Amino acid sequence: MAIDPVCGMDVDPAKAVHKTVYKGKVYYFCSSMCKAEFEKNPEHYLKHGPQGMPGHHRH
Amino acid sequence: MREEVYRVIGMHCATCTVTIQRSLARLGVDAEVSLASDEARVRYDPSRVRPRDIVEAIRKAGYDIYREELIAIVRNLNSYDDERVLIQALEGVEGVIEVYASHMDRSVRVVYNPLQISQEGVIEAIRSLGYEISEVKYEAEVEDIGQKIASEELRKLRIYTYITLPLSLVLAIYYMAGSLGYSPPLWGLGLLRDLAIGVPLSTIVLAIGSLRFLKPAIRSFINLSPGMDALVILGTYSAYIFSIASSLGLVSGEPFYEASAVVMSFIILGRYLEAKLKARTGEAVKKLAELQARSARVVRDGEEIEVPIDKVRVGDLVVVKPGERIPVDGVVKEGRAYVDESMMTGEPTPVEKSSGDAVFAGTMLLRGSIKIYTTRVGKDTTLGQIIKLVRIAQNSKPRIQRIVDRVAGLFTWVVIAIAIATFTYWHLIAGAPLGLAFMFAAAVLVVACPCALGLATPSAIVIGFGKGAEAGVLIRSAEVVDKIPRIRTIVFDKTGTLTIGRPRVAKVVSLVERVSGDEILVLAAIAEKRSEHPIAGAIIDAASEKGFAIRDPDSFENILGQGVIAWIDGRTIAVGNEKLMKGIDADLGPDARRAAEEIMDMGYTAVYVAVDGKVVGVIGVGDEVRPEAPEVIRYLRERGYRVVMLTGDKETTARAVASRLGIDEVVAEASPEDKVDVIDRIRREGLGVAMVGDGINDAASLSKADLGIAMGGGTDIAREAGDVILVKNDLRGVIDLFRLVSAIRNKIYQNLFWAFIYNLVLIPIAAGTLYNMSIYLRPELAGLAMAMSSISVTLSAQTLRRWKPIISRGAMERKIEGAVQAMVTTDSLALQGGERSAHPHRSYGPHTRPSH
Repeated sequence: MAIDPVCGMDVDPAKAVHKTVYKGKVYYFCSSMCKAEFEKNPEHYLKHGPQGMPGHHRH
Repeated sequence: MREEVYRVIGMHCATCTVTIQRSLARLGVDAEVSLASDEARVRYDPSRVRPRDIVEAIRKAGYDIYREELIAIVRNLNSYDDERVLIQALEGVEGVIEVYASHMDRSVRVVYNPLQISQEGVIEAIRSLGYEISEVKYEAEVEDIGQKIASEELRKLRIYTYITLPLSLVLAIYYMAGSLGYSPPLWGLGLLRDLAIGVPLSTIVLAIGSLRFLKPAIRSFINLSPGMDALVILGTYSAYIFSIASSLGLVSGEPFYEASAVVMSFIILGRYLEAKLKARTGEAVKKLAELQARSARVVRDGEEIEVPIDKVRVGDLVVVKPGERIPVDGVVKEGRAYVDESMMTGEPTPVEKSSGDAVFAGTMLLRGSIKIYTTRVGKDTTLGQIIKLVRIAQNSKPRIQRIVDRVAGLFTWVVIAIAIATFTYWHLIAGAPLGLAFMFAAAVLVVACPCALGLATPSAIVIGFGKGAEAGVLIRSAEVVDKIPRIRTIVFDKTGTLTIGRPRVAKVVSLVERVSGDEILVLAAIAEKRSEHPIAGAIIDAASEKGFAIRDPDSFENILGQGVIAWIDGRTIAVGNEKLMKGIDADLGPDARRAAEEIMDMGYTAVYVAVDGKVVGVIGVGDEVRPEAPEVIRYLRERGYRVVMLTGDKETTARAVASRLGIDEVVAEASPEDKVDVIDRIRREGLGVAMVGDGINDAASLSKADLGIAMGGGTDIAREAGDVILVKNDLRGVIDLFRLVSAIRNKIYQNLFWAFIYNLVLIPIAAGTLYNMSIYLRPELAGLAMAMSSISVTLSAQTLRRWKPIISRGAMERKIEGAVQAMVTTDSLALQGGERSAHPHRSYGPHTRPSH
């Protein structure tokens, strides 16, 4: 199992549709929203860990 | 006013009813359309609107009418005149929508509205016109029966000719010798001589001729539409009766028994020769029909048994061995074989077929052996559909023929009037002896030949459409012959029509000195091996075509919209677009960028290949322009046609293709609805528009255009839209279509011209207008001329059989032309856009087939 770096959910890499590559590593997402969020600022999520569902941030 | 009810198919909302009513109102038809019952109640004036116009209007509006059809084999449908009578009479029957009759195969096909008339009603209507129905069919399986009747007819006419010709020649020589003063035996006996020689011989000849001509002549008079047969009977009988009367001394003048006999035997001879020629007219369809196997070997209860083809059912397992034609459409279940599909696709190299591949009835198995799971049999196979379509089209009539039909209908009456006038003038006004006046009148009746008029068009259509079918150009209806001269603009769909429709590798650039282009290609192919994207297919195909075996990667990731990453022997291969390269932190560098830009300038998609995070190469992938496309566009432009490219693809890509082909008018990024609008707009400019596109995806714009040309490749031909279907997947079918139709038109006009000239010249001569210059036609000669004119029209139409399509040119020639191939990008510039090409079931060849 892989972990969605944005929302923290478990994602099965064999079934995942939403993926991206960053620094040569493949990341898997639960949804296109998480993927879009990650691609905006990958370093943020890699440094701070999953932040919960995008769109539900506390500001 | 006539009132009829039609069942409308495809209505789903209230606006539908309004649309239908409005389009019918334009025809001058009052309509009440009910959504609840799916019925349209129409009121119209049958003298101004034909039911087929109503059906056509509703179909143009996007709906359909429920219709049924039956095919009757009519035993005594002998001549063109019968065709005309049947069509005219039946099209006047309430509920009958379209009638096609052909004396070539003796079939009458009636399309009718079952809400207005029953099948029995149609049959009754045919019978009441005096025609004998020998069989009623619901499918176009008329070939065998029609042929049987035709060969029976040929045999009969041959016997008649063998009997009548010698008898009438004896008669003619005897009387000629007598009148020249040679005094043959019995000559001096007067009445006794005529009773002993003239009467018996001419009676036998006339009686035999009557077997063939009397009934149709009477029938045509009863139907108030006399034709050729009626004229023959009138001419010969009047000469015969006059001769008997003069022998008996009832009227003055010498008898001319020989005239009626010679005319009759010449006309029988003419019909015989014509029938022989006609047998060759339908040859093209016959050739296609012969591709259908008569029997098949099927597996039943584990055993292979040979059964007649009509006993093979969908789902049967059929075994085919080398040298045999495949008897059914189906999917290969077991085995491997090379199949010659050239009759279907035009592709001359045999195609390898193995489990899962589709195979088609009529194609030839060359090597190997396969078991086929049957999906379609008989008339439902692609071949069966082609045959049915051609046969229906061959029996349809272009506009010119409808005019000729009207002329021919009046023609006979006019000729009878001229004959009466001729007799009256010579006998009563000019004071010529009764015998001479009679001779002139009979000559007029006999020489007149509406037949040549009637044969001019259909014989050209039948032969021409047959030739087209042989070349893979299926013309659906004779209306195409009317439409083509009005076409000024030709609109082409891009993907799959001007281009092959799937991407191919166009260029491979290596960025590293010690790695060759081929190695780049193989690396990319390994990475793409498990991907199903069209670009992956192109790369894998290119590598396997070069003979490389492609290994499976150890693991593989497909990243939508970017490309793929694969791992093999501890190395990472990434194949994809710039975004993917960024994702793996691979530096593109100036070399890679320059190579990619070069590739994109040429209109291809650039695909980067990186190994362990280092970009090693760039591959250009694009949709190939069909090798024959430039030739087709050049041909059309040279002839002054306006050529437009219409595509859903991006502007830049579309422009790249267009400029390679020399097309300057491009409409890009058009949805299917936009395409229909564009066609409509050009039509409103008053220019005839032909649309060339895919028969399924472009169906709407094909039917909107004045002439829809569907690019084949589809196997369900009956479902494809378009007035013309190019079965062989070759764009030059468009050129062949235009060439063929102009050849057919020329032949039709040429035939009609001679037929008219013939009648215009010979009828006055027969009437004795040049008698004072000693030029006149004895009825015998008139009969000979008449027979010759029919034969010459049929013979002249046969010259169309020499027409040659350019598609048949050798494959080598095409390969050389194809060497200078223009390449362009695919539908989507994004590498992994997700959307599949128009050909999802492409195979990657046996080496790379994913195992099931």
